[in-house]
Formats: sequence, structure tokens, C-alpha cells
Amino acid sequence: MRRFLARRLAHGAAVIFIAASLSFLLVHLAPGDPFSSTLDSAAISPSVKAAWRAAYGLDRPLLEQYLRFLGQLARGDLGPSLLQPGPASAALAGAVPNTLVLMGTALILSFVIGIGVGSWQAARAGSGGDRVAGNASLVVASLPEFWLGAVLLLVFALRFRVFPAGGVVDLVMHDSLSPAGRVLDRLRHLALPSLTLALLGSASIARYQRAALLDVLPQDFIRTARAKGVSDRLVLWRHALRNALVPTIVLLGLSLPTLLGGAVFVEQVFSWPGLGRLAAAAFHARDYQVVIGATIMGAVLVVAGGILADLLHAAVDPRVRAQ
Amino acid sequence: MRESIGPRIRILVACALAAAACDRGTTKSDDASAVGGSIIIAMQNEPRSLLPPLINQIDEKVVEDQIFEPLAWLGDEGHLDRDYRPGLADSWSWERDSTAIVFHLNPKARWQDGPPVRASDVRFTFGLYADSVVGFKDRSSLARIDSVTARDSVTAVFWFKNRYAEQFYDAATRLLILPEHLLAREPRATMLTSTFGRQPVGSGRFRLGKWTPNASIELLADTANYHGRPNLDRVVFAVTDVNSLSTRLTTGEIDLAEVSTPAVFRTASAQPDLRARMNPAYDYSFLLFNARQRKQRRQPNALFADVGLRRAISMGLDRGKLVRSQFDSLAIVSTGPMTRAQPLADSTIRTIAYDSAGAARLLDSLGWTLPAGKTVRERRGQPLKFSVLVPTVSANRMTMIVAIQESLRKLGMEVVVDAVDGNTFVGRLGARDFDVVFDGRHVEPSVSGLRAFWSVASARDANGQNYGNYENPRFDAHLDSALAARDLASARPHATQAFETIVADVPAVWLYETRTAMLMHKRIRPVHLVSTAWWAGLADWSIPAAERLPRDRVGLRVASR
Amino acid sequence: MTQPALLTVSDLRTYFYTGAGVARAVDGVSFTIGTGETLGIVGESGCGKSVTALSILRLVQQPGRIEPGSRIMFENQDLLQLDGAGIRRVRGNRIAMIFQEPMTALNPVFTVGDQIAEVARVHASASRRAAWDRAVEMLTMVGIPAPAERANQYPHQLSGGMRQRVLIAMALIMNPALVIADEPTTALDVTIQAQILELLADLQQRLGTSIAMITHDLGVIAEVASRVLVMYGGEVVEEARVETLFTEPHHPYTEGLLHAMPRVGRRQERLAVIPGSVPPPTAWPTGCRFRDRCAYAWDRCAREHPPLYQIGVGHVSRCHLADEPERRTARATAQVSPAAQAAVPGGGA
Ligand SMILES: Nc1ncnc2c1ncn2[C@@H]1O[C@H](COP(=O)(O)OP(=O)(O)OP(=O)(O)O)[C@@H](O)[C@H]1O
Ligand code: SF4
Ligand SMILES: [Mg+2]
Repeated sequence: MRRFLARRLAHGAAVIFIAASLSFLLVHLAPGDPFSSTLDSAAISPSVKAAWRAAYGLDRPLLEQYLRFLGQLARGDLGPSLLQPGPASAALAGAVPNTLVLMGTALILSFVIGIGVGSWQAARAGSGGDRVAGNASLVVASLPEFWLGAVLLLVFALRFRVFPAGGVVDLVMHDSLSPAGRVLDRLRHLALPSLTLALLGSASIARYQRAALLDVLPQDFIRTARAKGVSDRLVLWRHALRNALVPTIVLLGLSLPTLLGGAVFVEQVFSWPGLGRLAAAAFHARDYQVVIGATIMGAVLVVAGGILADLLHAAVDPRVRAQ
Repeated sequence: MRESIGPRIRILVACALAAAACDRGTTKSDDASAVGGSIIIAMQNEPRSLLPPLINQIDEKVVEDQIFEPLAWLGDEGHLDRDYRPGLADSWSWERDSTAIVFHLNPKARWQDGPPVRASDVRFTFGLYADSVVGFKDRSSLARIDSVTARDSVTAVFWFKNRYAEQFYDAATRLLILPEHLLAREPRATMLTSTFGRQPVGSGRFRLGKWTPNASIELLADTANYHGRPNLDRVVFAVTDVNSLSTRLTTGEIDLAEVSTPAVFRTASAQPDLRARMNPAYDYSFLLFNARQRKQRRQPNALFADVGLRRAISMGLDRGKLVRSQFDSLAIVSTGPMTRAQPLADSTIRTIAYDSAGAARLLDSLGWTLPAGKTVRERRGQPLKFSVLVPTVSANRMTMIVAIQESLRKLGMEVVVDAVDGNTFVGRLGARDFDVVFDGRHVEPSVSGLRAFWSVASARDANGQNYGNYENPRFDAHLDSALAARDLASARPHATQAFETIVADVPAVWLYETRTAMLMHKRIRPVHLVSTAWWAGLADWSIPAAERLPRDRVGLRVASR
Repeated sequence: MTQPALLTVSDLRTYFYTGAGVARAVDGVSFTIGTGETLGIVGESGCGKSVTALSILRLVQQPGRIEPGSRIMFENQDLLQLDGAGIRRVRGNRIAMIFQEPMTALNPVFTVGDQIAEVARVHASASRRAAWDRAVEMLTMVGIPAPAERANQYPHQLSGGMRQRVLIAMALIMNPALVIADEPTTALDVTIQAQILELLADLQQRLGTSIAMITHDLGVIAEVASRVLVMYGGEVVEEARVETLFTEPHHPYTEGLLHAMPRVGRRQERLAVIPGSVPPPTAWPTGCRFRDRCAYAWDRCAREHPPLYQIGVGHVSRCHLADEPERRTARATAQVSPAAQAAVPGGGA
């Protein structure tokens, strides 16, 4: 297991290195630079802009910049942000926790909802309820994130006013609330964005889970369990589910990139100050270091998702653990 | 006439001071209940920096004007040659045949970190704004200020190279005065990433409370301010996606927003809690023709060197209908390189009316005829086909170009939409690499910016902003006369002639002036809603005690941990 | 029958309602099992042995259904009339099953200890600790070395024989009155097979459990059973004491089975099989279901569905030969019909 982890980590490091290099290349090759998009170019003379570029080292050959970037990266340093004071990592440090909270909540919610619905369907496969749920999940899975977000916004923020429409906390009241009130405030703000992501994720998880359970239910050991006198509910939730979770758990790792992609839209709709918003703004402004940093964070999440999936896979399947 | 501006301003200032004093008297002692309240203002894009010379978008200006002060504020009427409110300077006088203005700083003025504001800070600020390496975009507007000196610690003198109508406006309002003691050692080529830009210290009545990146900027009342503390405890600028704006306005999460989308405006202005107000337009958009071949200044453009064709295209577009159907009340038809809100703008000049039959006849007479069985006009076998450069970032322009394409198709022209991202757009514009471009400009009350965009000198300067290579010395002459005049009244006839000249030359199809609407919660009582800057009097806004929401009652203490 | 009846199955019909028609997999089966007795059930693949076994515990799944009119009396109650909780109280507790495939009959994601203990936790509401101890005890009893460690292992870490012992431990933990073993040794190699059978016989002796031993291997029957049920085409075709069956089989199908049985000491060039194949359960022929493969068949066999004829004490057979025994001697020389002989693969010695 330890060797396996070491191999996975090495592989992950390689993925992250490649992602960092690719994003370095892409963002530097994209038209414009930090000083052309945001500072209306024409009003400022080229010589001034050249002075700025020189001040940030952007006048050096790309290869030299790349090597310097790699040198910094090796020391765990992204370099300075080109558009705000301080290192790019500080900008990321502000955004990453918000995204992690959003994605983590959405991930847990989507698996709870998805596995619950999928199992419920499998237990009554072919029934009317199964068909209704199946069609519903098919529809939900194909909705665009921002559209679903906008609908939840209209229903739960505008029509019924149960949840706020944007931000992480109440901008004025949060600091004056009791500790419990602050937690509640955060949860209320988390509700709609995480639900948007979770609904989308849970739709495909439900379909996956249903299929996995239907694969497991006819197997011999299920019959054994029933012959032992175990109740139908326990047979489903204990014996069948644990086995059917194996393929679903693999999905968990695979769903992280999708989830991250969805978070970019959801953060936009709900004014959620996370990695997605930061990356979009940074790319728009060509804040190279922050864009690269955000890409690396994305790659880290994806790699971590893969490792997490493997660990979970091992946790639910002893045959994997043995290897 | 020569001294007319000075004395008049001094009288106005005296009145303004008196009024301000009364105002403050009532707010501070007689009616303590006016103090308090927290308002949340939507902000579309987060500022990168709050360093005023690096101003890049209007959202930044709104915040910076609370933390910093100019020497004087433009008054509520927005007349450039009179009507100013005191800022850092509480009085001023003209000297030396009107080539110098002396500003007397308020002796009680203090920076938010303690030290007094000095005339040397004003001198330093001018140096910073005028230093090309810093990157102040309107640096050209300071070109006629020769220097700034400190006569004594509270007296700053602006010296001008020559006299002109907008001298006072340039000196008093363009510079937000900055603290020399905090910025003197900051390297100028990297000002954008200076720590000061994220932790600004000014002399304004609000100070920066908490800046949560990507989310919000909180300003708190500076209770020790020498003008007296603002009524409001707190102003929070919240980064808000345009898609959730009307929802957040409706639910009361946002108290105030500047709205530019008709749909958002319609929904939000129907809310009983919200009050709407139209802002004057300071943006205009137009189809700009390149008079020269792409990238080649030497050769005239094969199509658009011909004023007849330019005129025919203009005649062929029903601008009134195009603008109404797309913008509702949030835009009006443009009449020239100006907006009606500019004091010198003249909306009575003759413009090209919509006449599609006339356009067709004109095209025929130019030799662009429609061969039988074809849909695109031709001249000597060459089809009437051209591309229009459009930035994808502008939803407005992307929408309208489709309608324009359709209108011109009916006239027998084939328009290709060349949609590119913002960076590419700026690059191609600067390189003059286009035949027609869908461009837009932001203007100030002053018309001095016209020189940069339409003068012969700018056309011939490779770095100039006259991208369409428009050249007419008569226009330049009229404009120079207007800009050299000492007051608006004498400038007006020259300005009108300049506008008539350029409109008759059809260097562009003037399409629309966009304006924004302000939506604010009814409990807020705004004052000093200056036409150019609704936010100028924010420190004197108030919320009546009886109408306060929970967030208004939070007070100042909690958040100022 | 010396022992009092523990289980009485009468007229059991289990049909599968498939797209291809109604498969009458078990079609009117009746038998009894006495306390402490071992009943062997033999028959070719597909004759309905497993479905009979599953029907007893009502484990038949969709689209299968036990038809009304069937009765399964066990300990003075009709299992078919119990509610869900009632039948669950019987499963694994009073009647346990041992399945054919030890490789797949255990849940791969739980330790074997857990899986054995689960039975005790379900039926005896034993604490986790007590159930676990009991499971280890059972592993000791079925002869698994180092049982405490083994209990913590997962099925994939155990050999086939070991897993079958685990299944036996699981079946016996509640000391059930009846164990239904559905081909418990088929998947194992010969030496392990013998060990397992020995173990079962030994445990039965000690615990006094009744066993229904399902197999298609008469060798196994000979070793463990006292009475035998021969099934064909969803029906019981012959029932007799084991000695009787081996020495005086009545039904031609039983004869065929015995003939096909490998004998110790008889060198066999090829496995003798009964030629022909079982008709599909969706379309049993009228008359005798064995007719197409029977060397003695005559016109009555096609016309008349044979009832169970009494042959001797405790010996019945579903063959018209009981009524017209002279027909057997007439064809006594021909073990195999000429037509069927031709169908034997690689026919001729
Ligand atoms: N789920 C099912 N759907 C349809 N038919 C079924 C089903 N299960 C069993 N059958 C039918 O019931 C018949 C009897 O099957 P059963 O499993 O009882 O045979 P068996 O005697 O146990 O054979 P084997 O020796 O191969 O285990 C078979 O012919 C099969 O076609
Ligand atoms: S009834 Fe006829 S066909 Fe059937 S087994 Fe007996 S002899 Fe053969
Ligand atoms: Mg079977």
C-alpha cells in the first residue's frame, strides 16, 4: 500500500508539473499581457509599458522566464502576482478554502443524494417510481450549471427568500453574530451554490449507483445473505451497497474535475469568492502567476481526487487493499 | 472677462461653505440620529488597486473618491467653469493673468494615519500623476499644467503653460491628493502592485475597513475626519455577478447598484423598495471607418476613403429603431463624437437621417449596383463586402452588429462579423488593422479628449488613438479654438462648428450613447448626486432612524476590531 | 420412514413467468424429511433441484412464483403462509442453506468472521463481541486452523475448501433443524470433497441435524444419504431408501443414472451418459416427460402422464412399467435404444 501511494504521488507530481508547464505556456502565448488588457493600451506609451514589463521580468526570453518559474516552483513559490501586491500564492490562499468548502459540501451532498436515489431506484427497478426518478436524473444531469443555479436562485432566493443569493457571509451582520449564528450564516450562504453543484453531480451518481446495484443484486452472496435471514433492507444497504459502492467510489475521483469545472460557473452565479472566480478574473487580466497557480491547484485537486478514490476504493474493497 | 471665473467661484465657494457648515451642524449635533447605517453597493469588477493614478474602471473611482479627496469637487450642476465644492482646499484664487491657481488647503486636514496634509503632498501628487512611468491614462489632460509648487505648508500653486477654459477643472478635480510620506519610496514602474494600492490611506471621510479579495471592500466612517464623520457607519462594495444582480437588489442584499442591462433595470425598478434614477450618458459607440488601408497609413482605403459610401451606410441604418429595440430606455441615439451630458455638446447639429431609399440611390450613383439575380452590389466586378471588427467582451456590440448586418444586407451589402477577444481587439485597434470597427468611448464632461481621438496629429502618430485615420485640419482648428476659450459660453460656437465639421465628414456611424440607471433602496437619502459622479456626496448621505434595517443598527464598533 | 417428519413438502409448484412462456421448473413435488435424516435429491442439471431448495425458504426471485396449492409444512407451520418477518425467523435459524459456489457465495467485502457472526446477530440478537466469539468457535468446529486469525480474513484470502467450511459454519451456527446443502462439493476437488462430506456427516451425528443433500452425483448420495429422491423434469420420478435404489432401481431414468455413474474398480474409457437432453421446462411433453430418452417407451407413455406407483415399502416410481412390468423384460437386452445410441457423441466403443 505504501509503495502504491508513493507511486501515485510521484505520478501526481508529474501531472502537476505538466499542468503547470502547459498553463505557463498557454497563458504566455495568449494574446496580450497583464498590461494590455486592463490598462487601455493606447493611452499609455509603449516605452512605459516596456518599462513595466522589464520591472516584472516579462521582457526576458520565454525560456528564461520558464526556467526561472520552474526554479521558484521547486521552492514552492509561485512568484509575485502581477496585479496585486504580494505573492500569487496569497491570492490563491484566499480563494482556495472557499472553493474547497463549496466542492467538499457539494461532493458529500451529491454522493449522499446520488447513492440514496440510485439505491432507492435499484430496490424497485422497473417500477413507476424508478422510471420517474430515472428520467428526472437524466434531465438534471444535462442541465447547464449556470442555468440550474439561476433557477435555484429565482426559486429559493427570490421567490421564497429562504437563502441569500450571493456571497459567503452576510457582509455587514456576520461579525456581530453569535458563534452559532455565524455558522448558520455560513451554511445559509453555502446552501444554494452547493446544492446546484450537488444536484448536477448526484444525477449522474444516481444513474451509476442504480446500475452498479443492479449488477450486484443477482449475485450469489446476496442470496446467501437472504438465506441467513437478513432483512431485505439490510441486504440492500449493507451487503449490496457496499459492493456496488466500489465502482461509484471510482467515480468520486473522476467527478472532481467536472465538479471543479462546475464550480467555476456556480461561483460566478452566486458571487462566491473561490478559485473559479479568481482564475477567471486572473485570466481576463492576464495575471500570469495567479492563472498558473489556479491551474496547479486544479491539477492538485484532480490528482488528490484520484488518490482519494483509490484510498476509498481500498477501504470498501478488501481485494484492492491486498494489492 | 479674464477674471470672471475666479471671483465667481469664490462667491460660490463661500455659499457652499456656508451650506456645508449648516448641513454639518444639523447632522452632527442637532440631529444625532442622522448618524448610522450600513449600505451595500454592488460592484461588477473588483478593483485591482486603489491607487488613484492607476484608475482603470468606474468601480475603482467610486471607492477612491471616498478614501481620497481632490482639491475641490465638481458641484451638483456639473458646470465646468463654475460650481465647485471645497475638497482638501477650502478656498482658491487666481493669479498672474490666470496662468496660476492658488489653493489654500484646509489647515485641519489630516491623513487617516495621523500626519497633516501639506502642500508638498499636492506637489508630490502632481509629480506622480504626471510621471509617464506610473501610467495615469489621462496624463495628456495634465499636459498644460507646467508645475505645482508649495508656497507654504498649506498653499499649493498650479502653474499653467497657457490659459484655457478647463484649467480649474483639470487642477482641482483630476488629482486625488496622495500622502507623500507613504508613497515617496514606492518604485514607480511597479505602482500597480504596491501594497498601498491594497491598503490605501487618504484624507477622505471614509477609511478602508476590510478588503476581502474577490468578495467585498468595506469602508468605515473615519470618525476623526477633519470635515466631521460621515453619517453612514459603513459602505460595503460587494462584487456581484450581473446575473444575480436583480435578485440581490430585490431581496435587499444589495442596497444600491448602477444598472446597464435593460432586463435588470425593468425587474429591479418595479420593486417597491427601490428608487430608480437615470444617470447621464458618458459613453458612446460607433462604427468607425478606416480612411486608410489596413496597417498602411500611406494608401487610402479602397472602400471607405469614399465619403459617399460612408454616408450611404449611415443613411441605411435606422438608428432610432436599432437603439430602442436593444436598449429600451438605457441608451439614446448618438449624434457625434460626444454625449449630450457634456456641457459643450450640441445635439441640434444636423445629422444624417435614416433614408434607406436614398441610401440605395446614393449607392447606385456611386456605381455600386445590384446585378440581376444577385443579392450583393458590385462595382466593376468587385462585390460590396467588408468585415467589421467587434470585441466579444461587449455583449451590447455583439448583439447590435447582428441587426446592423441584417439592415445592410437588405441594402445589398455583405457584412462579415470579425469577432475577437478583448486583447486581440485592443491590439488590432492600435495597429489600425481593420476596415470597419465597432468601437466605443468613455468621455468626460470636458471635450478636450477629442483631440486625442480625432486630430490630424493623432492620426499621424503611430501610437495615436485616431485609429480611423480621420484627418480634417478645419476640425482641428475649430476644436483648438473651443479648447482655448476661457469659458464655456465663448467656447460653444467653436465646439459646434467642430462637431458640424466632423459629422459632415462621416468618419463613423454614430450609433448610441449608453447610460446607466441607479437603483437604490428607498430608505437611503442621497445628497450631491452630481451628474458625473453620483457617489461624490456619499459621506453626507443618511438613513432616517425610523427606516433603519438591522444592518443599519450594527454600529461601527463590531467591525472595527 | 422411521423418523417423525420434520418437513413435509406437498404438491410444490414453482413456475417462472418468462418472456419465452411459463417455465414449470418445479411441477408438483412432494416429499418429507424426518428429524435427523439425510435425504438425497439427485437429478440432471435443470431438473429443478435448486428451485425446490430455494422454494422451501421462499428465496425464489422474480419472475419465479410458488403457485397456490403448494404446501411446505415445517415445525407445524406452513412456511408459505408466514409473513416476511416469520420466514426470516426460519431462514438461517431453523433451516439453513449451503450453496454450491463457495467462490461467489460469500460477500467479498466483509471478513468471514463478520459474515458468520451476522447470523447470530440477526437471530440471537447477540452482541457484536458474543457473535464474533461464536463465529470463531464455529470455525474451530468446522476444522479451520488458526480460526481467530482466519475470522479476520476476507473470502479472497481463503482456499475453496476453506470457504466451503466457512459456509458450513455459517449454516450451523444457529444449530438449525434442517440444512439444505445444494451441491456443496461440486466445485471442489475430490480429496477436499471427501473431507467436506465427512465433516457434514460428522456434524450431523453430533448435532442431530436433518440434511437435504442436493447433488447430481450418485456417489455422494451413496456416501451420506439414507433416502433418495430422483427428480426429472420438475417432478419426483423415484423415491426409495438408498440401498433399494442402488440395488433395485425401478425408473428407467434412475437406471440410466446408475449406469452413468463412475464405479470404483471399473476402468472407464468414457463417461456413460443418458443420451438425449431434457426438454425445455416451458414445454413439457404430454405423458411421460422422460419418454423421448426412454428405451422402453411405448404408446401409453405418450398418452398418459404416469402417476407415482408404489413399488415397495417407501419405494415409489413414476413409470408405467410398474403397471406393465412385462415390457421391461421384453426389452431387457436393450439398455439403450438404437436411435439414441446414434446420438451419443463418438458413439460405439
Ligand atoms: N430465474 C429463472 N428464470 C427462469 N427460469 C429459471 C430461473 N431459475 C431457474 N429456472 C429454470 O428452472 C429450471 C430448474 O432449475 P434448477 O436451478 O432448479 O436446476 P438444478 O436441478 O438445480 O440444476 P443444476 O444441477 O444445474 O443446478 C431450469 O430449467 C431453469 O430453466
Ligand atoms: S413411463 Fe414409459 S417412457 Fe416413461 S419412463 Fe416409464 S417406460 Fe419410460
Ligand atoms: Mg442447482
